[in-house]
Amino acid sequence: MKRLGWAAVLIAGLSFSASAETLTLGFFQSSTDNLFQTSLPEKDYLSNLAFAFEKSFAPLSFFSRGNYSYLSKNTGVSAYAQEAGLDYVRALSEKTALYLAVKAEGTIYREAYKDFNFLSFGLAAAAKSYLMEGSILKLNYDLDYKDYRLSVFDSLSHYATASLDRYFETKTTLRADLNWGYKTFFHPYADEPVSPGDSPAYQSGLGVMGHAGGPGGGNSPGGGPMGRRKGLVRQGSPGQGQGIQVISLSGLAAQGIGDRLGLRVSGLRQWTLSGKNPFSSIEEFYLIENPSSDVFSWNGHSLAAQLTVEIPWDIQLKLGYTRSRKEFPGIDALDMEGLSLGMLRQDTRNQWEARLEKNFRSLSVYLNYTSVDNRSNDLLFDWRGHFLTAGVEWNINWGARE
Amino acid sequence: MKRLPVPVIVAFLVAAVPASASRELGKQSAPFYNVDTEKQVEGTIRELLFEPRYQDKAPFLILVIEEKKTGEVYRAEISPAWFFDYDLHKGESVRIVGSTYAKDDSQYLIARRLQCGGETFFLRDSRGFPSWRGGQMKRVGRHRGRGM
Repeated sequence: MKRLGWAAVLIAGLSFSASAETLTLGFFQSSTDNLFQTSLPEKDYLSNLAFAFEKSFAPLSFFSRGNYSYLSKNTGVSAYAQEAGLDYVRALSEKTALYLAVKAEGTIYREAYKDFNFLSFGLAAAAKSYLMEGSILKLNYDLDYKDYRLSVFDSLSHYATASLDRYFETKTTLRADLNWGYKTFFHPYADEPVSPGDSPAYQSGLGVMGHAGGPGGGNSPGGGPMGRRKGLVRQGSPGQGQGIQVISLSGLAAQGIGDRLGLRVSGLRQWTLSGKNPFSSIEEFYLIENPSSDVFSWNGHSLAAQLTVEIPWDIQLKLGYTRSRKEFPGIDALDMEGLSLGMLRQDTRNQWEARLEKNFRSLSVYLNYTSVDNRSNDLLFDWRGHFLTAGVEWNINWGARE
Repeated sequence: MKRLPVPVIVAFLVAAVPASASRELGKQSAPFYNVDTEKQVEGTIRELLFEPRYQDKAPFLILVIEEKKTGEVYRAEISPAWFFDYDLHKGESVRIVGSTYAKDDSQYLIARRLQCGGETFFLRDSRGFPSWRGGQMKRVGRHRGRGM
């Protein structure tokens, strides 16, 4: 039955594609030496096969995107994600446009990660206005409702951004953003601490990923399920909710240097206005969504710089560096035995990235390398990692050429 | 534990299947991209506008560009407003490769490739087919539904 479900989703997706005028197929191959981003690294290789299309039905347009990701070692984390939605753009005037979207998304993981299977429903609204003297005002709002198989992760989030920029004749752009967000976990607590994947079916299906009380104590390199600590979900009143409210200010300065060089420097400071993380740990996995980790889970600051260069043969090269310092409210730093150190977890991360992109007639080729050095007072999350992705996209057109 | 409602996903997708996809096939909006009239224009943005360009389509971002060498003014069609989330500004220098045509004593440019601020944007492929159709993968991490 499970295979039938997968097949049905794939067939439905491909049926859409057949009716689209343009189909974009993408294949991306990634490798990493630290899939679960812990101090107990685990190598893996990820293959992603994706398709996307879009079609207009005045005044709406329909868009859809599917992505199958396969992990060669941790096959139990392989997943299929399908997104579909309708959007609407209207020019309120020559200078102002309004954008509205509604979308649904579902992700199905294989057995090891199935507790993170989810359906989501989202709304988005945006307005963009070209003001006088080279300024742009942008307003964005996103609503996201997520319904997980393991209901402790069920949530509703709101995120709003106001952005104002100004371009100067020196080819300099300055921008300031104000962001606000609120996320509610409806019932994040359980009668007793549990980790996703604690079910007997999980343990029998993935014996190599056994779990133990602390990192390093289990069969997997990380000790817990897929490198995680045991007891991600805290004990508490099952009906009790938990909200987190954040606000952030960010700024960006961009400088064009000649025709082929661009430099961007940006900074962000985020505060937690109320609430805290309801879970016992915040975990990020490479290219795999984890409901415990998102923009709401931390406060702190980040600084980033990016250099964009047009190199010979029309190849675009982007070099980036990001430094961030984050504190995770409600998350204690733990020692390697899993005991609290009496302080909140704090991470300092340095990240370097290089990206190449080359566009051919209907093919686009990408190569991306990222190196991360994450220092944390929680030793499990004191880690380094290297991530390499190569990808190709193919645009297949058979419709009218506008 | 809740069971994953796969049928719900499938039902949603099936319900949303374009009912008359073929209706759109073969319907061309004039003028269309003509590779034989391609030229490169280097100039300064004098105005930015949102304008309807094609029937039943989202409004397009239009740049009014003054060519540096000749002073000639072009109205350059960039892409549907939702697709182009890079912020261009009045006064910025741009270099555009696109298909030209004249209408009502005005020069028009359908942009295929745009260079600005050290970045290059491929809006159409070399045959003129739009990159925004199905091009959501190019917007990695910035899916539609995330603003303009």
